[in-house]
Amino acid sequence: MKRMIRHYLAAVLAAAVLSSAGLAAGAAPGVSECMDCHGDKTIEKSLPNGKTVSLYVDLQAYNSSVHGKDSCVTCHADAKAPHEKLKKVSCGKCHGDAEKSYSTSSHGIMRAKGVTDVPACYDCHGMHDIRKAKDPAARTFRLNIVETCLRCHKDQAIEQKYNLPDQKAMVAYEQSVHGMASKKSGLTGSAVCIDCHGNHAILPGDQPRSATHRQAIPTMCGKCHPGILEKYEKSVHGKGMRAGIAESPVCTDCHGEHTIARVSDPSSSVSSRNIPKTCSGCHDKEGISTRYALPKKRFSSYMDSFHGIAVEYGMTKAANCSSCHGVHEILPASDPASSVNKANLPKTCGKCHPNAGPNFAKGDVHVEISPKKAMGVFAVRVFYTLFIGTLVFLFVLHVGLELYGRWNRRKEKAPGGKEGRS
Amino acid sequence: MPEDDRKDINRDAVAREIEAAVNEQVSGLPPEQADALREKIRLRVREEIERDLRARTVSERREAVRLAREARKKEKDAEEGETFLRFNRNFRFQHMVMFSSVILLIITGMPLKFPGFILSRFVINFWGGIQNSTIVHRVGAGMLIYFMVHHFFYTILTRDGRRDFVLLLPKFGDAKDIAHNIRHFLGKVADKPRFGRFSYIEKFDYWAVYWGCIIMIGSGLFLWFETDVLRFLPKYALDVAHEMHSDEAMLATLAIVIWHFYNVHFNPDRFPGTLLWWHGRITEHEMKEEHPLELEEIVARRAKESAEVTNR
Repeated sequence: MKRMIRHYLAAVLAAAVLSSAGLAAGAAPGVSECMDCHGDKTIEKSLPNGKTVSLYVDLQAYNSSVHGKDSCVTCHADAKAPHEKLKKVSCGKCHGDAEKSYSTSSHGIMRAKGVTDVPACYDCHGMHDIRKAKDPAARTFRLNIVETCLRCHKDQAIEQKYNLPDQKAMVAYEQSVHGMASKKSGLTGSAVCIDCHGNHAILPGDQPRSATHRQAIPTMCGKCHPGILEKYEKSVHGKGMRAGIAESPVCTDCHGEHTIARVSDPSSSVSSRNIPKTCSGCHDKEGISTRYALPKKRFSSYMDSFHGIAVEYGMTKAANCSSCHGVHEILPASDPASSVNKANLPKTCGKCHPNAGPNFAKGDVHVEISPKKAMGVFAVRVFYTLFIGTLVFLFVLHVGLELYGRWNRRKEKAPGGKEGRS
Repeated sequence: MPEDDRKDINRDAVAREIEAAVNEQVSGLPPEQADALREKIRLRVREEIERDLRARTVSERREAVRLAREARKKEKDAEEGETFLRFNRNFRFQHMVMFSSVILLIITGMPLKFPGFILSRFVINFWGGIQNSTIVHRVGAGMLIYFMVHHFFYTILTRDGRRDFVLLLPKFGDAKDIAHNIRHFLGKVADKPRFGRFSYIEKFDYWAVYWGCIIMIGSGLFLWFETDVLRFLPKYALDVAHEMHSDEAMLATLAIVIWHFYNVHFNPDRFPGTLLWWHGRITEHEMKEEHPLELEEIVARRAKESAEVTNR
C-alpha cells in the first residue's frame, strides 16, 4: 500500500515538474527528469507471476557507458513522464549490421521464435552500462567474454533444455592453453569464445555457415596461427581437407577443442605420450587404411618397437609419430619432400641418432613380422617359439617326472606301502 | 727383520718375553760370563719367536678356524660327515656377479617385452622411470660382459677352471644318465644314476648360460650401439638382433625360473635353497647322494697320496 502511494506521489511529482518546466521539455524528457523516478533504488514493478523487477537505473554507470552522452529517449523513444510499459528497445535502429547477423545466429533464431531465455543484445552487452569492447570494464572485453558466455553455458538446466554440449566441455576451456593464457596470464591475444565461434552470428558447428564448421576450422585457427596454417595446407591432411574429404583431420581432430593444451603438457592429446593414441584414432582404423590405400598395422608395429614402448613408459625423448612424420607438414612417404621418404630417412633418424647413415633406410621402420615383410625377424621368432616351447615342455616333463618318482617312493616307504609290508 | 709379520703384535710384550727368556738362561752364570752371553742368547730367542710368527700365515689361520668349525659341526650331526669344497672362491664370485646382473637385466628388460603387464609399470617406476631403468639395464649388461670375460680367463688360466670345463663337456654317458634317471623316476630302477662332479642337469645349466650369454651380449651390443652397428649393417639386421634379444631373454628367464630354480630351490631336498653359492661347501652326505663318482675319485686320490707319503 505504502509503495503504491509512493509511486502515485512520484507520478504526481513528475507531472508537476513537467507542467512547470513547460511544453519544450514535456515532449522528450531529459536524463535528469527520468532519474527523478528511476534514480530511486526502491522503484520496482510487480510481474504477474509475483516477482518484482527493479526499475532503478544507476546514473553513474550510465554516464560512463558508451551511450552516456545520449539521452534516455534515444533508445526509449516512446518515453514520457509518467509512462506505462515502454516498447522494446531496438538496438538495430543504430546497429543494423549487428542485429542482422544476430538474427542469423542460433540465439537470434530462437528469440525470433519467442523463446525468451536465449540471450538478446543486453544479455551480453548489458543495458544502461554498455561499454565498448575495448574497455576493460566491459562485459564484452576480451578477458571478460568467457565469464559472460559461461553465465549461461555453465548452467546445467539450460544445457539440458537446449541439448547443448556437456558443461564440462565448456569449462575445460578454462584449463586449456588459451584459457590459461587469457585468465591466468591476462593476455588479450589469446583466443576466447568469440574468436572461434563468432560473436553475433554464432551457430553450432554442424551448420555449414558456422565459424566452427569442420571445413572452416583450419582457416579459423589460421587467423592467429598463420604460419601453421601455411604448413598444414601443404600437408596430406590439409590437401585432403581442401579437397572436401571430411575424414581428413583438421586442427581440432588432433589438438582438441576446448581442451587444447601445450605439447609439453602430459594431458595434451598431442603430448609425446598421447600422440600415438591420437594418430591411431584414425590410422588404426581398417576403413581409413583401406579407403586411402594406407599401409596397415602402423600403430601395433610402432607400439611393439622400442620407441613405442619407451614413449608408453613416459620417455619423452623417444620417437613418437610426429618425431619422424612431422607435425603439421605430414606428407606420404612416397612424396620426395616427406621426412619419411626413404631418401630422407637418414636425415630424419639422424635427429636423434647422430651420424645415421644410409643403412637406416634399409628395412622397415614399422616392422611387420611376416615372411613377406621381415623374413629374418619372422624366422627368428618361429625358431624361438618352437625352441622355447620344446624346452619348456621338456623342463616341465623332467620336473614332473621327478616329483612323481618322489611321491611314489614316499608312498612305498610309508607304513602300509610295499616296503613297509615286506 | 720383517716388520710385516709383527704388525699385529704388541712390541713391548715381545721384548719382555725375550728379556725374560734371556734372564732365565743367564741366571746361574757368574756376572762376567753372563754379560758376554746375554747378547748371543737374546738374538737366538728373537729368531725363534719370529719363525713361529711367520709360520702362522693368514691362510693357515683361516684353515684352523674352518677345521674348528667343521669339528663342531661334525659333533652336532655326525652322519653329514666331512665337508668338501665344491666351488672355489673365484667360481662363487663369478656366480654372484652373474646372478646379480641377470636379475637386474630381467627386471629391467621384461617390462619392455610385456608393457601391458600390471607389474611392468611398477617395476619401471621403481627405478624412477624408463630413463633410469635403461641405465640399470646397461649396468647389468656391463656386469654380465665382465662375468663372461672373467670366466673365459678363469677357464684358460686356472687349473680348477680347465678341469671343470673338461668335466662339463657333454658325453655319451649323460644320455645314459638321462635314460636311467627317467626309469628311476618311473620306478623301474631303484637306484639313482651315479653322477660325477657334474650331472647332466648341471651341464645343461652351464651350457644354457654359455649359449644365452653369447646371444644376449651379441644382440644386446647391437642394440646398445645401434648407430655404429648400422654403419656396417642394414636396419633389418638390427631388427633380427632385436627379435633375438627379446626371444632369448624369454628363453633364459624360463630356463632359470623352471629348470635352475627347481633344481636348486624348489627341489624338495633343497627347498628353499642351500648356501652352497655362498660358502661353496658340500657335505660328505650330499656328495654321496649327488656326486658319488666324484667322491670315489677323491677318496681314491687321497689313498694314493697317503700311500706315497708312507712309502717315502
